[in-house]
Amino acid sequence: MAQHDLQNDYEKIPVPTNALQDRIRQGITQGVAERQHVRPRRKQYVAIAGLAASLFVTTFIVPPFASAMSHVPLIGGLYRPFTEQGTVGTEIEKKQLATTIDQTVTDQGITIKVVDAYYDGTTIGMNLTATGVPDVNETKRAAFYEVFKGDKRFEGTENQELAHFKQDGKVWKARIEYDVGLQKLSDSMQVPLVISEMFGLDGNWQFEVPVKRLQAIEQTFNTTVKNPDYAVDVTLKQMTKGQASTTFDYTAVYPKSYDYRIIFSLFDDSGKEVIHNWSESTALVSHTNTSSERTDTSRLSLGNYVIPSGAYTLHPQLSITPKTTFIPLTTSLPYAEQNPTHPLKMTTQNIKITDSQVIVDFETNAVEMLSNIKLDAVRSMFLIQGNEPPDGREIKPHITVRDANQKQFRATFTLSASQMASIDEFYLETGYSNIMTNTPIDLKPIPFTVD
Amino acid sequence: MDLRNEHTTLVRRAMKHDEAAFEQLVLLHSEQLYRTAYLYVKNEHDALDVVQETVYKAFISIEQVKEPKHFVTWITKILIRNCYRALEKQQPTDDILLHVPVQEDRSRDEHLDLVHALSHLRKEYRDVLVLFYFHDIPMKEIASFIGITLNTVKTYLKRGREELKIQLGGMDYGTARSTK
Repeated sequence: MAQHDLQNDYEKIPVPTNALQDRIRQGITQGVAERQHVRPRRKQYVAIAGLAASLFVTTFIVPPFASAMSHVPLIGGLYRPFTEQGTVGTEIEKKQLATTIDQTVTDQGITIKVVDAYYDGTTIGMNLTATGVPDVNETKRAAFYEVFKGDKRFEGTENQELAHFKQDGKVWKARIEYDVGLQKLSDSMQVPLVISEMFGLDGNWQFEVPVKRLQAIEQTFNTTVKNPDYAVDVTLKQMTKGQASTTFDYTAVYPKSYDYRIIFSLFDDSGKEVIHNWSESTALVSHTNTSSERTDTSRLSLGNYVIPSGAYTLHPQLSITPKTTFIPLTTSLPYAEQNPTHPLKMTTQNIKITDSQVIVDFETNAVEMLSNIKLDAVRSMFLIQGNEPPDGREIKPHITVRDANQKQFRATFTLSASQMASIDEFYLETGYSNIMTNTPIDLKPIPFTVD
Repeated sequence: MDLRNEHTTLVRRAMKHDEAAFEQLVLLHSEQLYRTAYLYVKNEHDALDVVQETVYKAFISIEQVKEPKHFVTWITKILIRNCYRALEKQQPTDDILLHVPVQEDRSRDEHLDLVHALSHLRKEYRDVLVLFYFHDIPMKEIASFIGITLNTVKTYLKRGREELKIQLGGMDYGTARSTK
């Protein structure tokens, strides 16, 4: 040929289609297994993180969880689909507050019915049933839907979601819930719902669901607490007490240069903790930036909880997320880590590399039982090939106590021969950043009264 | 739904751990991923290994994708990194090009010309050529992806093409893709 054509030659590379598809499936299967391995641990560590918050003690959190924490749980998206128990809908169902809709649409042989709907203060929910669905694997037993389709008020709120169905006798059931954010909607309206895929089949199931807002009480507080040490202001703006839920709107102003987040606990007037560590119920509804500050407006939504009248205090805590750093094994020692805004300190004192092991000596000022620090270090420290974020293949250590009084420990990482052959590529995550994120600082409580 | 929206939707669903959407998404790009892996590792067995490893890593870290439009760049980055890891593991005798009879006539497969020529390029040139020509990634994104300036990307593309020409014994590669 007179002239090569890059694209043409590239496309002439023969593709072993069947083998390739097999390998893709194998890769996904590996990934699924990895996720199933990680998921239960995350739940476990949520509880541990909560304990750390309440006792103000040092707790290392497993890195994948800490990584997830930095992206999701404290401030998630506005859109909060719930198909699990314990949502607003659970209480609505118990109190029989939903309005019967019974709209039915059939396409692709699948009949979807919007059974009922509700709008409790800030949350719109619908219960769906489906019949005539194909027999597909569990991951495909879902509807891909959109509410308020085309409504500019809800742009940017990821208004497309999956509703997972569960079988109940001959029908499949799902519930969708949508937090309307700070939008002021009519007490009575038509909510467009469009389902474009069911159980893997493309189709068109469109509904106009009439929704009426249930009676709700709104109270405005606008109470601000300031913490000059961290240059953080937290303002409790408003509470909405619905028939089956309670929501709090608040703003937090942070220095733009720090990754701060606020988490809350709620105490009644006797000092009893009513709700602990409200992180997973929080959604960011808006944020603004100036050159130096970031202002987040967030909503705490407690489905299935109606706050009784009385006096309360909201206890904000400041979670600080430093940038995770992976240090090369050749770093100069001792390597001390202490964020200027946090009391926790950790020092890597020595790193020794043998034929099959990397031995890291470290000490910490963590206020915690030795056994817990050991346990936490096992979960938090790791060696990783390259300095990219962990991918599940990081090497975990065995931890021993070197000096109990000085809180000095030894982390021993055992590597395979092939890993040792490329030891120069390995980096150490000391776990410090994970502790910081999950050991929040107490801020001044915010008192308020529910009429 | 147009193709771009459909792709965005698939990425969004995959980011929410929808396994079926992830599989569909990867299958859409599977030939491209395989061919690029093959360009680097130069044999079917290793190329399939690299794709599998890439799919696994992408699956468990899909939430790291910042925006759906960056999915292709993101997964290609994982793929190329895996290719280099695979290359490090390859023994010199495993280089199948050593076993491919060099024919001086024009009947040999053009794709082997390409594989052979690319394997002799500087790593920087090769990465930029692959990303630009085979993955359709804009220059700006390549610059950000590799951590170099836009002008450096342009320079690498130009020099990469020149080196390819040399490797191919003076035969030039046409610039089928218009520059973005």
